[in-house]
Amino acid sequence: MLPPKSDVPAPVTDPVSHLTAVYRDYPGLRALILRRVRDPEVAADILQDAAVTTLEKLRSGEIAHPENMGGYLYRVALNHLRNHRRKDRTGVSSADALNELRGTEDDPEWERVGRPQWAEAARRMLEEMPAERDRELLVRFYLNDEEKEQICQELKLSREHFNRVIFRARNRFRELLEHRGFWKGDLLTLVAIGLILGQAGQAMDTRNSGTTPASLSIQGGVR
Amino acid sequence: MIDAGRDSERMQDYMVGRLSDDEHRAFEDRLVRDPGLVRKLEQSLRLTEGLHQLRAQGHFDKATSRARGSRIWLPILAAAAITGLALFLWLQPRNSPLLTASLESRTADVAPWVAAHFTFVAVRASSTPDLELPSGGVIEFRAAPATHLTASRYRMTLVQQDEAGSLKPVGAAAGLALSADGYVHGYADAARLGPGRYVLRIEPDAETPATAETFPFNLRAHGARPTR
Repeated sequence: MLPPKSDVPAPVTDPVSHLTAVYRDYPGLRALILRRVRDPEVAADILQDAAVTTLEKLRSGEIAHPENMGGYLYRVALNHLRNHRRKDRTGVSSADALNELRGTEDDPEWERVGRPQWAEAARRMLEEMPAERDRELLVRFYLNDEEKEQICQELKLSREHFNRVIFRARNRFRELLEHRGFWKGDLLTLVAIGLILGQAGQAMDTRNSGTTPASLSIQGGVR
Repeated sequence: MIDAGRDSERMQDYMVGRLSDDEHRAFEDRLVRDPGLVRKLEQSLRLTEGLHQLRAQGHFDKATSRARGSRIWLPILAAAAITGLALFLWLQPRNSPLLTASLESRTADVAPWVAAHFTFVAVRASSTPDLELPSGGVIEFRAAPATHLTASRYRMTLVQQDEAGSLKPVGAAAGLALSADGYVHGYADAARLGPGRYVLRIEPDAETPATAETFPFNLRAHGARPTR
């Protein structure tokens, strides 16, 4: 008997577009792998192997719902990464070379997926956080890979406070990326300038009665 | 919000390999069933990468300087009190060991700032890396012991080499466990180290003497040209 229609995997007609989608939709995963292996070619190999394996699973019907492909891709890619790290014990000794990753910054693919905006959004998000302690929490959790318990203990924070900070930070970071181009602050500035110019225009009209009222408009938008 | 916090914690533990085998499997099962979780994970990785880029740009050094500068307006008495406290905190670490097993064991109330991570893995080539000495904060040393040194606990020793070539241990931490990331971790105050030649030694922490693995490196002052 055939499975119900909704359980039939969507046919994979264009594997290349699926691979393109991997680079487009999961740049975070790609950045992680690159940071861990520190070699753009090795990182690309790992991601491509993972994408191929995932597509094979989709073709064979192992992935019943195509919308779950991302999860499989993550699982396979991270397993490939772990295997790679287990095999490769001859890395380079250097000062946190992970922070540098020179030679990958000019990759046009990164531009297309918006990676250059991640640092700017993270900077804005940190600047908007009023408490230094909350900023430290984020850096220690996301950047230094420290455990929640340890951070809460050392910064004398409750778990609820920790959850709140992480929740707000993630939401704000997402918002900033979604609204990249013009930021909230920029829009407020534009509105303020508009109001000032509007008032100046009105004053001019009062002085030059009989002329056509000035029509000022400031255009802004969210890309 | 609580769920979001738990999810974040679980995601981070998954990424750095802190989950048990069962937890790891359970998380992966969720990952392949829940596209929402994948989106959150992807978002977290972008945030993490953004922070990494900021660190590479020196943002956190600048932020620390700004934080210091913004206190100038405080009244003189408060400044004096802060100076006194700063002096107290400055003096404190001098009585504590230079190299410690964890950040926790460094100071009681003030959380130290990890200013640099130095990672050491055995390599075939024998070049000595030039590492930049941060002006403050804590340096995290991560060393991957060679497989033949497999032990339950390790000892990490930081040795300084003077111009004449003689070696002087400047700090040691014992009873170190191998972390889930495959490294043994040690922490040292950057302010208590000077530029020069060093060797990080890692060996099994056992009664019986065993071969130590050594990682030579140079520390150079911020802005100084590499010695190569």
